[in-house]
Amino acid sequence: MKTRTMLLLVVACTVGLQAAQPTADEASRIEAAAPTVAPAKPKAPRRVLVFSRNEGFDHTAIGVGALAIDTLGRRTGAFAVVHSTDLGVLTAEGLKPYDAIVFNNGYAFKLEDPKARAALLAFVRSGKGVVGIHAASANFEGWAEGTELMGAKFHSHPWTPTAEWPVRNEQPGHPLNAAFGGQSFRLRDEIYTFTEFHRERARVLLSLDLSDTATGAVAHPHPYVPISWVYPLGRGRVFFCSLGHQHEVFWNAAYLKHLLAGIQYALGDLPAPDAPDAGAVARLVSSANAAEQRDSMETLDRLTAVPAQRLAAEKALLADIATAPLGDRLADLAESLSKVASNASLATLTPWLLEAEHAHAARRVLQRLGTAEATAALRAALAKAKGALAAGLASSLADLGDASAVPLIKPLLADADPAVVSAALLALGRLRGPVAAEALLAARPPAALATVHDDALANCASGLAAGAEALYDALAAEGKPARTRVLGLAGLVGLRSTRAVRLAADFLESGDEVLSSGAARMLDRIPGEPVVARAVAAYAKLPTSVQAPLLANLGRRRAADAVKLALAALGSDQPALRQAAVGALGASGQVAAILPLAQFAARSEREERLWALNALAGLRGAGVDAAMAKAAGEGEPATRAMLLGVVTARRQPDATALLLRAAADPEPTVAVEALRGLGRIGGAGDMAPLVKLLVAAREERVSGAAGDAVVALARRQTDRDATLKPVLAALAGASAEARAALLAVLAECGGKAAVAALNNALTDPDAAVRAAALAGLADTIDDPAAAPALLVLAKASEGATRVTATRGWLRVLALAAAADAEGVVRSLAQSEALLARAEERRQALGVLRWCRVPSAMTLAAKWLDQPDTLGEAVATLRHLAAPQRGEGRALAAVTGPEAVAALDRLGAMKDAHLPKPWRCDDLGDVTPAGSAAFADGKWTLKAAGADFYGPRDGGFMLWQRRGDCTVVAKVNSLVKTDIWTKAGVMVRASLTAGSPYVAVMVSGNPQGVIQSRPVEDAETAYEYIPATPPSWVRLQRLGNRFVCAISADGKTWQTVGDRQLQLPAEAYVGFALSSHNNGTLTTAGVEGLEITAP
Amino acid sequence: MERRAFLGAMAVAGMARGLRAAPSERLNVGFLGTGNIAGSHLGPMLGQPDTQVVAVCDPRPERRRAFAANVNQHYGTKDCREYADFRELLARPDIDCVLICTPDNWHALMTIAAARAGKHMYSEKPFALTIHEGRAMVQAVERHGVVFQHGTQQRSDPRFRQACELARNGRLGRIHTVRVAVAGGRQGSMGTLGPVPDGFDYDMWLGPAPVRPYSPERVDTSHWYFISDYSAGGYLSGWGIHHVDIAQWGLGTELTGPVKVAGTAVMPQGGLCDTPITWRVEYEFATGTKVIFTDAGQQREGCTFEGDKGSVWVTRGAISADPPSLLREVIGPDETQLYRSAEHHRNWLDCIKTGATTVAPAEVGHRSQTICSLSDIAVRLGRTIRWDAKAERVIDDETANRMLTRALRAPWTL
Repeated sequence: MKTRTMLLLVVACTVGLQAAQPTADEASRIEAAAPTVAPAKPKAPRRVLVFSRNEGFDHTAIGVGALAIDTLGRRTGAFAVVHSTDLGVLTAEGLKPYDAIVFNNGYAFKLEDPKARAALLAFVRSGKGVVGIHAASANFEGWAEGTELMGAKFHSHPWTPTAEWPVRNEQPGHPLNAAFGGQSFRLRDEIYTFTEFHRERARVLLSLDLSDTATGAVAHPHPYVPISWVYPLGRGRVFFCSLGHQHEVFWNAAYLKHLLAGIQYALGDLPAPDAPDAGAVARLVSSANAAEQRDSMETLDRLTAVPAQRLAAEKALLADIATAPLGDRLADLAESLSKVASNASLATLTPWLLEAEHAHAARRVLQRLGTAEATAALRAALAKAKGALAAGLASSLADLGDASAVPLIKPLLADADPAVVSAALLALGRLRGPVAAEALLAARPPAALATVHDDALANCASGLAAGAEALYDALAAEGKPARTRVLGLAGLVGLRSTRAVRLAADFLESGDEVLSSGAARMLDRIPGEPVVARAVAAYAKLPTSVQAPLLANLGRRRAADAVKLALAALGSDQPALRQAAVGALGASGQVAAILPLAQFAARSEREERLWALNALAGLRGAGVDAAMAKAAGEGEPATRAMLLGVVTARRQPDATALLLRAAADPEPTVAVEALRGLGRIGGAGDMAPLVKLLVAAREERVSGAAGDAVVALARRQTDRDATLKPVLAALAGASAEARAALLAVLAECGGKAAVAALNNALTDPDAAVRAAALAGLADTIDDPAAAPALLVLAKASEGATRVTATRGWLRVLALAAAADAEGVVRSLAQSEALLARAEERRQALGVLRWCRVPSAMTLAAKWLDQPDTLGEAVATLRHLAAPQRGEGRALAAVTGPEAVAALDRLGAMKDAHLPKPWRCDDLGDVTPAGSAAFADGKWTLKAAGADFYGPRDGGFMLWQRRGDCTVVAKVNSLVKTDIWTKAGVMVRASLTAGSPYVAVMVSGNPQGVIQSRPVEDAETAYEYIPATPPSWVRLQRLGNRFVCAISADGKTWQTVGDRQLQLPAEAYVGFALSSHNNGTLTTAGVEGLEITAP
Repeated sequence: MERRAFLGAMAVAGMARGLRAAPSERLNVGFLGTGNIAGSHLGPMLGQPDTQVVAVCDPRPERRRAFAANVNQHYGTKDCREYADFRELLARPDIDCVLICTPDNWHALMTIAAARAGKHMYSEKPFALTIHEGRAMVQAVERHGVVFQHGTQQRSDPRFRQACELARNGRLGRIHTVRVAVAGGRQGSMGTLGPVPDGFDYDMWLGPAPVRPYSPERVDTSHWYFISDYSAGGYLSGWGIHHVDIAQWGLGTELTGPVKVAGTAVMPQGGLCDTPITWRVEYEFATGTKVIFTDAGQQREGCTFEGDKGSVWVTRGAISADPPSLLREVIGPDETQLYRSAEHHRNWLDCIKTGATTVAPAEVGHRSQTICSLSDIAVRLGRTIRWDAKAERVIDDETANRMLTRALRAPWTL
């Protein structure tokens, strides 16, 4: 008695004042249930540090757990216990005295000191132990190795302690599971699901049996739910058990034995296997829960690197396969088994090879296994098999390349079933080898399978080291169908057989279209001149469908006669032949090809023209450059222009000189094409002559082309202002027309000098020049430096000029926004007179979107008063308030008091449809947006959001700002998008996602909750209450006291909670809603929502 | 290589639009499969001046009937015939070429059968279901000398060629990283079991794939795209092959493969679909160039070549470069000029007539598919796969090598 009381005191002091203390009754239950003997004799006196620090939700079981561990150590002598909640103990010195540390259910504390982190990791890696209980999996936020320490990270608890859940014993013979007597069991507790759990790294001892229908039906986000596991870490060991929310777990005798064994394992006193067990995983490939089954298959894949794991998996899978009925599981089992099978699988699977329903599954495994024994089993089955079974076996043996199967496949060639004969032929074809070749040559399959036979012969021949010629000869023999003979020729060509040459020539002269076409298509691979000569001789008598590929191949070989034939073929009425001719000429590399190709291009359209030009562009040979230049200088303008394009494409050495000459040509077509070419390949030194040409140009086409060329050239240079010197110089003394053209060029190029010149030209004596300058500045130049000049002009003008100048000013202002957003906003604010018309104001709002500063929001908010641009103003404010991507860059959201004020203005407008003074907002990261509608005294609220839970919320709130008050509502209906969809009354400090609050809510569960968050971004505390829609909920605020109540009728109230929380005197009061599944909306029907005096 | 560069000059039918070639000059076309994707090819095939669609086949009677009816309405004849068994269609001597528009588990058998029958083929991507059967397909195409076009139509899109020419011609400097991202997979449903609809030859639809109970979702593209029985890795291949193929083109590694592949994936939880929803795969070539292949949630959709002198990003309908002036670069005729194909179907038909190699031939398709298949294997096994591209084997990994092949369901055989 005394010891226990003292122990309670010790535990109370060290576990911390916050944790609830075990009652005397609980203590005696623990005492009664705890074992007196430990499973292992400690190798030395052991000290265990029970670390119960808690910064999160107050698990009242913490104190109970601490006492239980104490009791275990004391009663069995397995270890002595020291309690602590001080983070300071987690140092190298602090941990030194201990052999293991138990993280007892406390959570949400971080370990941010790098020295402490290193100490803890070094502790376990050096050979010590770590034990984790329940919520211990929810610590070390932001520290990946800390998460790894427990082996997983808490995600949620879909299974609440409202029922007994089936706990599956995955390791019936394991020392840590001895207490369970080889059985699985049921337990009432809160069951966690995890992220970051690597099933292939741990040995799972217990898991949630998801194949139980009721258990699997509870919506849960992960396919597999481990409960208890072990794994080695460095030289140390980790044991984790996620049970431990309910106090009564700690006086469950079997659990206590499990925990004791786990602690002794962690201490290193109880040897136990802790490598992953592929056998256990493989057993769950037969789980009735589809997601768990699939996860098991996928986990097994990741365990296949280790031979011992493959064997264990194979054993388990074979054991499962032995239990009928297999039904739809067969395909999955076969797939998993095929990856791990050894010869040990043969005993079970060999008989299946002769059973129609299972043969494919067996072959899937044996074919992938591929050992000599597996191949022998397939052969043995083939000897006895008939029909489709035999066909399948032959196929698998062929895939395995088993030459010794040939004698067994041969008899199938005489089978009555054509499918079997076909399979046999193809198998022999793939098996290759002389024996297969012999069998194929001797085979006499039905006529319908002739092509299959021929293919098999050719396939077989392609793999023969010696003797292939015989097969190809057989195929190519006279009397065989033409396509078969071509197949034979192809083989001989591949062997570079000398017979191929004569045979090909014979085929070309045969008069048979299939034979000649086949030979023609191989001509590029048959060496030697004799075949070329005979091909050329035979050419004229061939149909055009054969001439085309023949000519193409002669061209590829640069055959002497190819050019002659191609020239004639250019005029053919057969498109394919014309194609081949163009190709042959292009490949010839001869000067003689130039003019014909050019003429062909000139009289052709679209693609044919394009490819002839490509042929010219790619023509490479002696004297071609010079001949091309010459040809571009004479003849029809259209042809010359075309050839100048070719010269440009060729980038031949004399190209630019040639182009400059041609650019001065009196023929506009020629000049334009030459100028285009200069734009593409000219250099900085060509600028001055180009400008001269621009100035001298008479025709608009030529002037335009010259201008384009100057711009293109300038854009390719690095020092733009230097490059534009000739342009600026030419301005002085040029005609008005020329000046206008030069100004247009300058506008396209931009730069300081260009802006100055354009600015100057605004006051030019000639009207056309002035117009060109205005157009250049307003519409063309992409340089923010143009803004001041345009502003001045706008202010000083009237009518159309004013509008043009204003629009131009706005256009270039947008360009300046990236560098000087504040300046742009100021400029706009100061020039509102220019923005009197909706069109210009709209443009200005567009400019504001690029100014990511608070003053932009203030200005846009000001314009909310202008009805003709209201929509654009709203859109601009929203655009500024959120991060965006524009033109490939990220644009930050605008924040700060000015932004808030602007948004508030917008918000008041946005909520105008709600009965006053109600407002509404989404809280946190929510999509799609929530909404509120009020009609006939009832509210219909829709919201998305991840939840009201944890440190940050995602949901929706309908609110008013009030001080002390009572808020009440009846939740008529709630769409259960999730069991944790929540709806109810709330008092909240602010509209941030992590704001403190108190709420009384119903949920998608049979129970509701009271929830509270004490300070910004802290964890949420919750307590279950017996409320479910339809239900009334009420929250009364009196200073910092919040009284929570529920009612069935709105008259008789039951107080369910009383909370103390510090919130600002005036807070956000109203109704809150979250669907729990961000991306999906829930709908709540609410009536009687009222806020009254407290 | 010279051959392919030369083929830049291969022209296209010069017939003015609207004028059809004489019947004797027309190629007779068959469709193997008349589902969603076949529909997208019908328009282009009907619009050619020198083709005649004469036969279609599909295991679903209402689909092939409607497809054939469309064809006949277009021509104003009744000559297009429908077949339930593709072998009958391939046996017709008058058919010159076929389009293979079936689920991936059928691609190998259809391709080899069509080659055997001497039919030129346009086969939808991805190439094959396993690396082993891909090699058999390439061998069959070569053996029979038929013209093969792989449905990676981005090869006939000038933007992709422009990006790859920049990469191949050193305009980006040494390419250290390529980023490939495509649409991710999906969770899918459990499927509703039920009887096979009347007339639907479900056994033929399954073909060489294992027997699984029928559900209407299974045989719909919404699900079979993402089921490993019919697709190697779901969108790892189904979409991935498009941009992986472009990466191959731009790196000049079309006829070889990576030395290492590794990655992770998030898989669906139960249900019919069992291929990656999101993934991150890194594969590396002997030169040290890395390709980072993910779903489009993790990287910009498309293909991005990053070199030490610049980068270029390209996708369907868009291209951009850093520095932007790269896009104004002109590749000279003395540099590496990549195959110019104006349109994917036209290129195929022209090559049929001239015997030239297409812009997306079988070996290239097989190599791109190999990368997609290795990615699938790597994410499932959760370890680095070392690949011998010459021997086409995985080095030192028993399970990975087993996954290069699968046993076909009898009586189907390669």
